[in-house]
Amino acid sequence: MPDVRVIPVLSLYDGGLVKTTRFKKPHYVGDPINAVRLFNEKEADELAFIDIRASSQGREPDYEMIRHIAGECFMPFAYGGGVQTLAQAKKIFALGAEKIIFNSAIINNPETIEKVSEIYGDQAVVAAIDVRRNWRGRPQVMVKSGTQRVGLSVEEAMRHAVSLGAGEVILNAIHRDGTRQGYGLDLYEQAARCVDVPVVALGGANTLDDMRAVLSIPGVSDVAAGSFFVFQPEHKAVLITYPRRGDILSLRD
Amino acid sequence: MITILNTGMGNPESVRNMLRAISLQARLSETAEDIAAASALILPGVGKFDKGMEALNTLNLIPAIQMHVDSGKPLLGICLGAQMLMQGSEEGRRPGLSLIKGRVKRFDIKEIAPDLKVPHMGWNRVTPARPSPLFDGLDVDGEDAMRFYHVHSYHIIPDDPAHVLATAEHGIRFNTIIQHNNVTGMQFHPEKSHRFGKTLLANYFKAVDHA
Repeated sequence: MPDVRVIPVLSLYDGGLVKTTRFKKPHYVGDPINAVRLFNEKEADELAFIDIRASSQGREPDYEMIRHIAGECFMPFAYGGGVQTLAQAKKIFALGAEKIIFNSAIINNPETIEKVSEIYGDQAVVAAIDVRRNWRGRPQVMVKSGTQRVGLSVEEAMRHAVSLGAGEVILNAIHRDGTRQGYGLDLYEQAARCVDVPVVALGGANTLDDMRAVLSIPGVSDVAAGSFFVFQPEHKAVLITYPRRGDILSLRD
Repeated sequence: MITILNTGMGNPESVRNMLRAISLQARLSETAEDIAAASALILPGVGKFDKGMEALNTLNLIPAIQMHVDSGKPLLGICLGAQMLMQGSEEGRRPGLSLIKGRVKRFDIKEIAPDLKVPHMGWNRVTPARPSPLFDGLDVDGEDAMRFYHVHSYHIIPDDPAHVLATAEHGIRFNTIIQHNNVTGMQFHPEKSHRFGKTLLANYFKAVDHA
């Protein structure tokens, strides 16, 4: 079986990289291309880039940026943010992305996801299911960078995305984003087993032990994080890091 | 010149980027003329089997690919491109290029390994089935064992086991590099596999006398 994938998720914002907290307060962390070069050196498993304003601003993906990333990236990468049409997806694949991450389109343009999966295969389609907790602690599925509520349960949203042709689900806890409090384990215990495709946990990782904890939950196949890879432990000082190979191999022990 | 087929399916630009990183020049093309002039041909591909074959048909490239192979020049298929070297796939109905005898089957591992996911997605260790200059400088075991990025739901089964150059494991042991004379297929993405991919591709082009 494949090794656990440990995936840095990097947020694009006005041409730079930022890290948010609960999808708010973007904190500038550096130049995207410089980050790609550092992750090349560290032999990261794969990268995910999300343009966190493309969808809420209703604008096109930044194709020039994607071209630059592809030109430097010797590992697979996924792009997400503002992809609503097949034509946009085609452009992004042609530039060299392996996968496209869909969020708002799961609800607003499901036929785009079906077409992309039909042409490029389900392995090229990632569904990001963003979940926040309401005031009663109930999970709510959100789209458009966490601004629009969707009337589906987490499991319904995941199954819906897979039925459209997603070959992978990133299950993201908005309430843990940028907090470095560890993954919201109850979310994964509840939902990770409801689909057969790989489920990637995202939101809150601070240590390798956090990753170990979420990977022990049946159905969670891989881990992603943001702050973990771009900040020094316990600080907001920027430092691009990536676990050593031996540590990654020990994550599923 | 090394020519990377650009059929609109997948990531030819990523392959060119990786070749550039090992100081090899390549061009992207979708014409039969360029294939005829190519010293080596790469068939990349991401997506469904029938879509991939349909793209080759529509561009009328199949006779040119066949002539390239008949003339003894090297052809490298990557991912879907490797699967298209075969006679056909469970994923589709169209015939493949039939440059290597055998078929492409879906991972049927639910019974034996219910916890494993399909698509098989991620870095997996690759084990040589026999010695080859392709593996020069690559470790076979230990923490630094060669690993490659796989992402696929179907795997290749050549009729002749002698055409298997390397395998990997995902519930079952499956074939991840196949080779028959001047035709080679890699199920994983060497162009997205860091220094392992760089070394393998550099070895490949050296072995086909192209370095």
